[in-house]
Amino acid sequence: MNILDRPLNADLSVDVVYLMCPVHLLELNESIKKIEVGQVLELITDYDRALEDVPRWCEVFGQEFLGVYEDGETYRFYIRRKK
Amino acid sequence: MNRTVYLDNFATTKPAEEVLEGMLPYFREIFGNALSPYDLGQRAREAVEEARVEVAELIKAKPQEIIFTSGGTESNNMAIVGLAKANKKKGNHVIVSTVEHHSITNPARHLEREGFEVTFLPVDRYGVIDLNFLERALREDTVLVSVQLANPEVGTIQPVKEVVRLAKRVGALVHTDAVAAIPQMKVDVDDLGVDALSLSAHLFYGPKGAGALYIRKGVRVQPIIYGGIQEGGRRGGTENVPAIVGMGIAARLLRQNLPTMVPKMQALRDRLIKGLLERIPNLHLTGHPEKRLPGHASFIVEFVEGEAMLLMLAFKGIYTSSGSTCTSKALKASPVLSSMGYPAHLIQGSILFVLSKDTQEEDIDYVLNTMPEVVERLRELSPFKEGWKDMEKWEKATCPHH
Repeated sequence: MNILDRPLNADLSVDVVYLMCPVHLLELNESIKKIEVGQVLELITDYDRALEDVPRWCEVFGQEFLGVYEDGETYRFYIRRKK
Repeated sequence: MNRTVYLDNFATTKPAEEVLEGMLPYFREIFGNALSPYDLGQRAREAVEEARVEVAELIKAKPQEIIFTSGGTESNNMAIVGLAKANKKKGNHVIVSTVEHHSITNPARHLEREGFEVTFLPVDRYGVIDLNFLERALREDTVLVSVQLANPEVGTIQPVKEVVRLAKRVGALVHTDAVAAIPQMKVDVDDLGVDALSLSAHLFYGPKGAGALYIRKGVRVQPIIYGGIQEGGRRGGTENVPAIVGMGIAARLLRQNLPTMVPKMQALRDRLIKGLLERIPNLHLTGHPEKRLPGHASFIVEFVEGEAMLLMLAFKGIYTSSGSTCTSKALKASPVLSSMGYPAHLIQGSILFVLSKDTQEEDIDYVLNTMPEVVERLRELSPFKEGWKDMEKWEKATCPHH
């Protein structure tokens, strides 16, 4: 797990705070299509299971997991679109 | 022969024929779950999304800002609890008015038990909220202010735009319960500037069991019903497709018909107010004389008891409410009228008439001809026919809610 010490710049940010499984994964499916290859997506969530789910989702769908920044009670996940 | 005159349109309205017809296929051939991927589900999904566009259009919102709920009560609960909890980091102070519906004040009481501080905003004798009080009550840790757009019981329209202007200074969110306003006035969420707004379908000729909560894009809300991915995960539970479809049709019809409905309703309402005040002595209009909903007339009838008046009017074919529909069931003095400063013995004699799109001149004439004799008859039986006396027992009946 790549823990970041500061947030990254993202081309699109989506906020699913307070929403639970599987909304974070559905949102990744939708949002990744909204950015270009090479661009970075930020997913903001407070759902702990996302720590396992998001890297795994990147693996399955061939996207690059850049890391997670812990921002108080929420997490900011960064994903680079590879394809 | 008796006419049937239904003037209790904030209890509920008669669904429009087009609404009912539009709903039926979603009980029959298109019964699919809107999440199912095959055609039966997809047709249900399309219908839900079309309804979302119609409801959004009615209040000038974007479709993705509409969450379908089971009705006004759920929308109000979600707004109060969901918005307050989602913004707890900012603070734990919430402001609601004393004349809100119980689906606002009771969740606010629940928040108090959860560690929030709730300020109840007082009103003047017309039921208009006190903006000076609000200005002083707002703090840096205020997360949410909820003030209704119009009061269902006395028809008073609240200065919600002013509430938004004041609340923005401290960065508080503003929710408005527009359940009573929607059927009788044009609503534009951007013009109002509110962050959240509640609607209920069955008050605008739609079905019961359908409502919506508008949440401005970018505003976080914590769900109150956890489940699947329906409504973007913000409100779990299989979509009530027929009711949502019905709400969509009702929203479209209302948007189309409101411009002609309002002046017609207002003329009849004015005739009702003027006529009753002329015909019945010791009758008082409650709520604001001008800043009120165009199809709403509410009164206090001295020396009579509301419940008896309702039953006698119903016997003559006239259907109305005393106090709000719910307080008339609970046999308590209305907290709305007591907040406005009316003593309990007067509140017992409250009555309200809410007109609909279908109310006719003959209906109003029938009320004008029938109600004076009903009141006269009740006053003959009243222990107070010679004036008010022995009032202590009435004071005990005041709702301790506020």
